[in-house]
Amino acid sequence: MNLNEQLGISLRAVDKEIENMVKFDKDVPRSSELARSILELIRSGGKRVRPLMVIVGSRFGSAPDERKAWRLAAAAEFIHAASLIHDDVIDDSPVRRGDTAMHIKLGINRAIHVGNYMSARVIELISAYSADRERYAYDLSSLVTTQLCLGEYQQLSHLFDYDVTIEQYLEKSKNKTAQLMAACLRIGALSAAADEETADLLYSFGEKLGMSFQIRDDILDFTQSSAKLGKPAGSDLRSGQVTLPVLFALQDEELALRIRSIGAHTPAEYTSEVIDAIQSSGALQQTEALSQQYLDEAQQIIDRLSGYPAHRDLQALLSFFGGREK
Amino acid sequence: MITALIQDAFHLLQGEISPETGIILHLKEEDVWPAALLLSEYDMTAQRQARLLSIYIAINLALLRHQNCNQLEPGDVLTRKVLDGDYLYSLYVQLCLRFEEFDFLAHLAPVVKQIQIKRVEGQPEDERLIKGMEIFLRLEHHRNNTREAI
Repeated sequence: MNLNEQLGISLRAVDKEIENMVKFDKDVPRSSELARSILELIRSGGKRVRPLMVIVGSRFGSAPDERKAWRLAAAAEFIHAASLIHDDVIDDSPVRRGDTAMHIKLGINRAIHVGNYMSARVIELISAYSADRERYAYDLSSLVTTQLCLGEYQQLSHLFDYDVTIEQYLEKSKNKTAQLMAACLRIGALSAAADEETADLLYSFGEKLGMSFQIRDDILDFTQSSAKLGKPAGSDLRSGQVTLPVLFALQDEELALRIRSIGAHTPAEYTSEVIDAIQSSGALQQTEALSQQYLDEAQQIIDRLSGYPAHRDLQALLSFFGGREK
Repeated sequence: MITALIQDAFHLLQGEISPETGIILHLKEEDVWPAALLLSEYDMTAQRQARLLSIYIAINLALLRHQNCNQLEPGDVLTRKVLDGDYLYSLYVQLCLRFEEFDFLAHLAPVVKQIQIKRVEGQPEDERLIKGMEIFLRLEHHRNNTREAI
């Protein structure tokens, strides 16, 4: 059973809500290239994890406001999708969700502006509900991507930096990935008038899932076949990203010497040999253990929220994140 | 006076930008002059003038950073241009919230969105930003006067 089915949420309804963000924008003609490009991107698929997290969060409140929760859910996916468009430009990735990436279809400039439009549309919609300013200020500041950008800057400033610490890596991962997931659960909860303590626990739960998700992603870069990844295994290291498996591998003095010799101009064959050595070291197991630790901590939060029937939805989210391909 | 306002806004904005971004403000004073002049025509504290101008500069700079990205090959320079623009767009929202300029944000958000739409269409109308700010100031002034009259 898919995650959305376990949560009792129709993915089609979620997608419709997301599509409505652009369809009901009076400034965008329906036949325009902008509308068409966004609808194509939405229809190309995606698990909609972030919108699902917003809706799950709303199930922890005493006064659920379905309209508000679903609007926020769509907004969260819009922000995520906008960041993917810009990521593809930065990474020069030609494919997104099996389809040609937007910057290949429209050119870099226009693709960047489409991403900007999506973020600006979210800000427009949220800032328009001005009845409760404290609420909207929180929703907006959670969804704007300042932290995500800082995570990207942190990553950029540490390319081929083998002295980066595990703490710095975790901070980067929190900013880049976990913060938005955590915020999704929290804004959903607050939209339904959940109490602060519950909302904070949900934030913490989402953060731990997000950290585990990012760490698992770093493992997949080493373990999945190049056919599945669409790029050679170990691509992160090849492009200078010193991820957690590399940081653990650096603790082996002999391997560290070989890793530290990799730079921007290192021949691919040499890097491949080092990647093989990292794969057969214990680094991936250590990384997996840390990912599992985050999931265990998330489980403890579920236990604290067991008084809410919706704690079962958190369990479904945890199983989904924990069961991702290794 | 206008120069002082621009300097204040620059310093304010630079102080709000995280050092991790490496963004150094280098807008030409003449690019900001019309907005500063506009703000100086309205009755508000020097602090608020500098705040509104710093928000305007953040958006302006974001627009500049995301201009002509197609002329660059993928790599560090393009990455920084995209990231800087993204960061500055999110910073303008954070600044509006921090300064409690909720009405300014609600007014500017659709304007910033429309600017993006025009850019996607290949017919940029970035001047909508200063026009949008002018309309906001005029409306606010009118509202304040009406309130006083009542």
